[in-house]
Amino acid sequence: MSNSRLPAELLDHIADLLHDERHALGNCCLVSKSWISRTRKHLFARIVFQNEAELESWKNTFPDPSTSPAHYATTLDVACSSVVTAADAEAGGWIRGFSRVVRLEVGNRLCEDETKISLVPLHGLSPVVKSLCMYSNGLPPPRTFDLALSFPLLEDLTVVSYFGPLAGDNDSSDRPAVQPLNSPAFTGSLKLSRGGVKRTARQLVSLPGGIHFRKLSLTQFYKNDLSLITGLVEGCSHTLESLDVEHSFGTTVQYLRPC
Amino acid sequence: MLNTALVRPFNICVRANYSLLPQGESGSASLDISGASKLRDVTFRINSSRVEWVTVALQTITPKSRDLRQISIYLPCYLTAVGTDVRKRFGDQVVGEWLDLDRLLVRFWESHSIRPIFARPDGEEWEEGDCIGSLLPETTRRGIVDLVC
Repeated sequence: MSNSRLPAELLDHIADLLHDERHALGNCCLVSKSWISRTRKHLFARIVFQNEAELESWKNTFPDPSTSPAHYATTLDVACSSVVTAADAEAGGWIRGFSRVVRLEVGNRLCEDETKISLVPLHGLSPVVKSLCMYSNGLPPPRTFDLALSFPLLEDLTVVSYFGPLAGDNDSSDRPAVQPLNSPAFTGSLKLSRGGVKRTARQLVSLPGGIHFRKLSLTQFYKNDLSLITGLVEGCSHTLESLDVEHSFGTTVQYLRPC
Repeated sequence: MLNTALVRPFNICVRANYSLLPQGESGSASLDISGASKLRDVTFRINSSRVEWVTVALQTITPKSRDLRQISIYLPCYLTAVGTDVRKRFGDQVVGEWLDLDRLLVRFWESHSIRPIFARPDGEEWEEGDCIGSLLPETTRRGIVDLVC
């Protein structure tokens, strides 16, 4: 196969057609060196670290970050953010291998005390991040927001906070010393839910560069958040095409842990 | 004391009476989407029988929103029950809010040809005689609403 007369574009197309056939891709990856890259970009397109065991498995399989397939990942789901950032600190910037991630999802499935979790290791993880999803039990808003601001090309932002406002909402313990000069474009979609509505909306409307979302989806908010949502709508007045709102007043909202 | 609000569905300007609203419910906590001049579709997901906030939000839409094509409203399951006396079940206050919404949706149809979409969250088929016909008598009678699952 390494001496195949088939044009490279055709081989790429074959691998692309097999993008959701992991077993077939695994076999293709063994065909020859020339097939490794074109199959790995599908095999490692989405990397999920659900827990410490999965993280350890990755590190054992790919001990050298410089040769790991991390740079093939376009989506990185860090469901155990505390474990990943701790591992990154130990290995001296191990997470930076995921330098081509376009979509980053950050959560805390281990239900650890989020006031102690630092997201600084994830700041600017990849310069091409366009979509950031944060699933939090109570992460202090400045940390969420600082992470979002560290991606200059960010278009889509999702913040789901399972708890309402917390005492740590004014926390600024790991706020970076230097704020970025330019805030992200914020030209895609904004999804806020539950506690994330108030926390994130307040910060977004105060951005000096403004916000330019085309789609707003705001769920499980309270009546006294309506003025904040109006502020978001006004902030996106020249770009907003779609508005999706779901209120909680009149009902009791139960903030549930995701795990 | 009567609470009034300016209704501005495009070129129509009338006064709506919100005397049915309880004290403290009609304050400044409302959603104003008047600035969204490029808005194409708006969706409201309702978790209670109260719809005053939807009506108030829709009233803020102005003629500047020329691109608006779709208004969707997702209902809670209990608002789709069949054979219910809505006044007995929900009370005059709630029914009054729905009738306000009904009138506003009729005006949206007349002024902008927008057919509102009402969706059931449970995926079940709509049945004749369910609540929605009583809550939105004019829009359903005129057949200017799309009921989807």
